[in-house]
Amino acid sequence: MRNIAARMSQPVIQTQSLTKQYGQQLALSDVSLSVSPGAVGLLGPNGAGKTTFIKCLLQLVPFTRGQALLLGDDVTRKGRETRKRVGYAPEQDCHIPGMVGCEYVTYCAQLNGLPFDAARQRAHEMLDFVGMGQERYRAVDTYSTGMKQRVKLAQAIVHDPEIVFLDEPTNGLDPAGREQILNLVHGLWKEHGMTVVLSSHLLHDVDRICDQIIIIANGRMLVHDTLKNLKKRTAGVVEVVLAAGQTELQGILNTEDIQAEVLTNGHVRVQLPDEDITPVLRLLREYNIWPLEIIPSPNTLEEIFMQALPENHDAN
Amino acid sequence: MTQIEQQYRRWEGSHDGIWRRRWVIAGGMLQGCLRGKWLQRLVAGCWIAALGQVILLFFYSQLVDSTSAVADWLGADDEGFAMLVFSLEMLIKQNPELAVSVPWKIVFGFYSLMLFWPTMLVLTIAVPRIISADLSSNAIVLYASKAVSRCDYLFGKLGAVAGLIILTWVGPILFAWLGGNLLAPSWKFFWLTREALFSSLTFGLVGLGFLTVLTLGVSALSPTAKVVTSAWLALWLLGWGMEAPASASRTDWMLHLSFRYNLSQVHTRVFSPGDTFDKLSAFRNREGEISPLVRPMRVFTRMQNRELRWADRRARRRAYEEMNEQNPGYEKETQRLAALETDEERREEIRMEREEARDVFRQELREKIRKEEEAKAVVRQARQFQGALVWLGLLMALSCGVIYLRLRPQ
Repeated sequence: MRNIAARMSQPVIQTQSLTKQYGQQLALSDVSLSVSPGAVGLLGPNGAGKTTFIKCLLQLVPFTRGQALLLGDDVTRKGRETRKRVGYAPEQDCHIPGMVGCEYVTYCAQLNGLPFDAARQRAHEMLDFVGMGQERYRAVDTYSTGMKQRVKLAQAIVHDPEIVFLDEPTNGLDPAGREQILNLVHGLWKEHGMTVVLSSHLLHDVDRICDQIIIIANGRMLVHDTLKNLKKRTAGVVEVVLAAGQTELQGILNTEDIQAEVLTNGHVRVQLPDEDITPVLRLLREYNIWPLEIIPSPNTLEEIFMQALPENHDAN
Repeated sequence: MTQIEQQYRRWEGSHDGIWRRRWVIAGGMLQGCLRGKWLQRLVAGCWIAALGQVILLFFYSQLVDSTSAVADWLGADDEGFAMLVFSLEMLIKQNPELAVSVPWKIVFGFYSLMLFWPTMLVLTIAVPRIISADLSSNAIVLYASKAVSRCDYLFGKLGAVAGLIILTWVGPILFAWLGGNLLAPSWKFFWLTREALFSSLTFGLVGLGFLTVLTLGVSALSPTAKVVTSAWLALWLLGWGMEAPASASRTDWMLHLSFRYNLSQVHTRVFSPGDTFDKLSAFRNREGEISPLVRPMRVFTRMQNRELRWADRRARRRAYEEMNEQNPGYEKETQRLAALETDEERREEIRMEREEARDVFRQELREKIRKEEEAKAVVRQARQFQGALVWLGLLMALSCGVIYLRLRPQ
């Protein structure tokens, strides 16, 4: 059995001044971080360098300078052996023309060193796991986008990796499928201790399943912290949902020196003094206002993300 | 879509080694290629041809043994046929080298060249599926993210192409040799036909090495299947088409642009039909006569060697021209010598003697000229063989360059 406790104490990703240049263009600039096991969200706008970062770690592209350790091994020296313990589901389609789903996943398992019998058995298990039925006996070329996403996830985890990189895994999925995939991905870490690095621009997906966040923009790492710590930064903000009387509530709160604003969606955003909601509740009771809902720390990630971006743009 | 409840289960087994993973790439590629119907038919055709060759060798080997059931069955009541079998049997006893080694080598020489064509057709069908398809479908990213390096990927693909060539070229040759010898009346055939096997395998392996690298290079040219197939056909057919004008104008560099020609030079060197030809020319039986088998074998040997064919043609023309030049003077001298004699019978004798002497001279002259021309052909052939090696090497280096540029991590 694997020593999960020992693994948990080791950082899974460590980079030191990781830089990647394509000609004159800087795709990654001095990225230094140490990521401990968990569900890690890799956020950033399009072209920020998220995929390049993953590709550098997997040695799909060589980095220009710096150092990268994956699962404790230097990727430039032990790339092939390290990748045996790593799964990757790329954003773009990467099927082998003419190959049917179960053959494809079996083949991927074999490429990671699983013997044929084990590979075939695992392939069917993983296809069941991602919710693929008889479609597995059809050529991957003929799959819908959602099915392709599922089969990509299956091939990424078929060899039971210690860390899996998922690049936009919910792209093209319908709401039900997306929900199912997010649950599966969440379970990989929570129930089986597999570190998941989820690269996405869908903040909601990341917010739902990740406990660590890395924000990259213009090739620079802007934020790397746990979601809990990040949420603390915006603690003391609530949104009050009212059926009517939003402007009145704003006026009442402002007269009591509590910052409040009415948002475009009709919610009243309230900045709590000393992170304490009691004064707000007291005022609501006093003025006989009955809120439909009070949402604590709403859109934290979005705020942090949006806050981080302009700073970075200024810096560049 | 069927939703099946399945829990994730950890895997604790041991991993296969890197050679196994390379084998998986090769096997996967081969399986993918062999799903094509045309490819299956071509491969089947090569093996049927091999079976045909086994049957041919079986009948020949049975004919050199008068006690064999086949010889008995074919010519039980035919005295002439029994004589033929007997003389073949005597021939193998007197000179097994000539009766078995040479025919086997000639047959395998032809067969090796013949299998080049279906192999090329198979590669034409397979070439867009090898690297090009992986580039267009992005499968190259998939391979790179697994526990295989780019070198392992290339090893696998090399193995797949080599596997295809073995299926259509080297495999059938081995099968024909083994089958032919297993069905032969004596185990000695294995030893006597070793040269045919080594020559076929050497040529087959040179072809395999070259064509494998070339196929990978062409396949890596572009992610578009049409571009890759067109490039392959252009390289093969244009080169082949240029051979005739290049031969006519004796433009060596143009000849070498055809890799088929270059491979045929390797074939000529490996099967050394010149040596076989010399052996055949020198062979006489105990009575000092040329065996009836020698003539057809010489014809077949010549057919395999273009330079030798040309040398023979040139020698005959030169001998004819020289004799024509000398003939009037010789005739005059004969008439002068005959005129000195008064006896009619003596005159006739002189004419006959002079005629015979002229025939001997003509034979000697022909032989002398043939040797001169053959010596020239050997020199030219050696030069062309070297040129062929250089050009094959150049094409392989070019292919390696293309593969490196296309597959190196950007």
